[in-house]
Amino acid sequence: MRKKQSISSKLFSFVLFCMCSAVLIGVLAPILNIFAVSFSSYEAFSRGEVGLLPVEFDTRAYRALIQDGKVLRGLGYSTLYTFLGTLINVALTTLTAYPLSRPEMPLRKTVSLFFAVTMFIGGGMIPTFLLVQKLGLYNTIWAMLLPKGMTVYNMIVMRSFFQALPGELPEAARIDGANDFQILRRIILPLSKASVATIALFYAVMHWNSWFEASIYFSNSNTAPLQLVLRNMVINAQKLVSSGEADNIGSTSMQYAALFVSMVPMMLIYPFVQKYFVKGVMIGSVKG
Amino acid sequence: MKITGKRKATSALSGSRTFYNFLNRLQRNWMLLLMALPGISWCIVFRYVPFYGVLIAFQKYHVGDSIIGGNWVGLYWFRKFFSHPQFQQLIINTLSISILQILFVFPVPILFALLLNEVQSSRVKRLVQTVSYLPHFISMVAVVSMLSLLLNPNSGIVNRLLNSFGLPSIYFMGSKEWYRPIYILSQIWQTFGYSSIIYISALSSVPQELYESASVDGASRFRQITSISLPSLMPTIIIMLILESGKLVSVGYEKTLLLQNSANNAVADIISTFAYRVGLSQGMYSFGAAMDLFSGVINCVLVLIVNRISSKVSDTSLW
Repeated sequence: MRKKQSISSKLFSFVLFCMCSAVLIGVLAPILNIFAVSFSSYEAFSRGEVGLLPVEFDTRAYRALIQDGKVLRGLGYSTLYTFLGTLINVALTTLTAYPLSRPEMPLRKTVSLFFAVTMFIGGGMIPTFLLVQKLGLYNTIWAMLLPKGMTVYNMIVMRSFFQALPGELPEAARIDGANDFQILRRIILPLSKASVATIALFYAVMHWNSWFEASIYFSNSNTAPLQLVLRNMVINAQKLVSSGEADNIGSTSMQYAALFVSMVPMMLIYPFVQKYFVKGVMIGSVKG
Repeated sequence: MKITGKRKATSALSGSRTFYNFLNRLQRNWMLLLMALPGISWCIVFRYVPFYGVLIAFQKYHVGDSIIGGNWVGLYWFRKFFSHPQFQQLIINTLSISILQILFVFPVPILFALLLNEVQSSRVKRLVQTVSYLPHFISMVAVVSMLSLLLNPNSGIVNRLLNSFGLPSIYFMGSKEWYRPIYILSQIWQTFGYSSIIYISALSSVPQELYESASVDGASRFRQITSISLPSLMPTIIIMLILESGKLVSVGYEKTLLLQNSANNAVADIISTFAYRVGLSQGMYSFGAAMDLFSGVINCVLVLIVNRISSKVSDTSLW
């Protein structure tokens, strides 16, 4: 009996070990291969020798990428859109979430419902596109920023953050003669730095990863963000590849390099921000 | 003082008492309303105006037409959509992906959370969990780019490996048969870690004594999973499953747009990508808007039904 137990427990440990290795390898191996090819020589790549580590270390693909300039420009525009977009998002979200968290807000229920409705029904892609055109935002940077000005779901998460703060704080500040804007800026925001950072991160990732808006709102690719550059450079090029034809190794290596460049910023920051994301997921689900 | 005068004048009417209260509240808290004004205006312009724009689904709309005086055609576009030769295939494709997602993508984070919970070393646990979140932070474009490059028939590592085992190359991205496996497998890769957060935290609240007494009673660790961990996850699993089934017709169009090409289009095309192509690329705005509206309405009904079921089953509802 005892022996049987120990065999089954050994088997179980083996299953756990397999699961952990499968996760580590399954997630990391594809990324490592991208990294390895992008830093390998064209010759080693075309001979099919590159696995998870660079072979005949070479930065030719990156030099070609810099010379081409599109990816660098895309990086610049992505940074711009992410920065400005997140700024607008955080401003609109806190300015809306704070009043809705106060019980004395006039029309509180009505306004909350007014926002909540838009989470379930919406005009859809085409009416939004026509609106952006009508407002004269087509081909401007505002088309990337304003339609995504706020995510109602994030606003509701933010509201529950604010609701969790003790209600006596704003009341006491009011008695001392502070107005609502002063209360928000001097008392509420300093107390909610972590929550505001969480929401800002949610928004920043959304902006950094977005490409679809750019593909419909920009008629040329001069101001395209990195994701759209990547789509044009890799996915659209790969759609033309057919079996049996030899690839242009130079341009394929460049595609690996562009892909790796686009993944690096998020991979560098995510270990530091993941705990905020986990917190955000939990709050969203509790609120649900 | 002006307010008190008003109060006397209106107190005779019962309904105006609440109105008076409202004015009083407004006078003391107008600044809160002012603060919410930018958000409210944004919501009107970018969420409610497009909703009004949906009316073009019932018109023959051309760029520059006004919606109010438009050329009304009733349900013309809807009839056109339902009788479209591709209609049936679009519905089949959309539902296939959703159902495959529920069957194969949905259970993975649960399994992952159950097994990870059994890992003894907290360092290994943290490492595996951190790595599992990584794909969530990689953009959709990057994921599809990765698929295109790694599955490339000539230079991609997957086909290189196949070749080294003496197998012929497969053109994964340009084949109908491989479209759904690729979609579902990459979906698992992208979401399993992040979706497991909610299950892992539910498991961490299970009292440790349960496991201890079970192991004293001679229960194997596998038995502990099926008799303790899984039952304590059940409420969460049911809620997530219900929510998931509410998304039956709303398959993400971004991933499909990136994955689809002329070779796999017959199985890849879904309602939203068809609407995009017809509506935006070909400029048939009314037709596209009608299709969007069709799936939007089904979605809305599903969410309502699902929420009904959810509040009956588990006291958890969306609103």
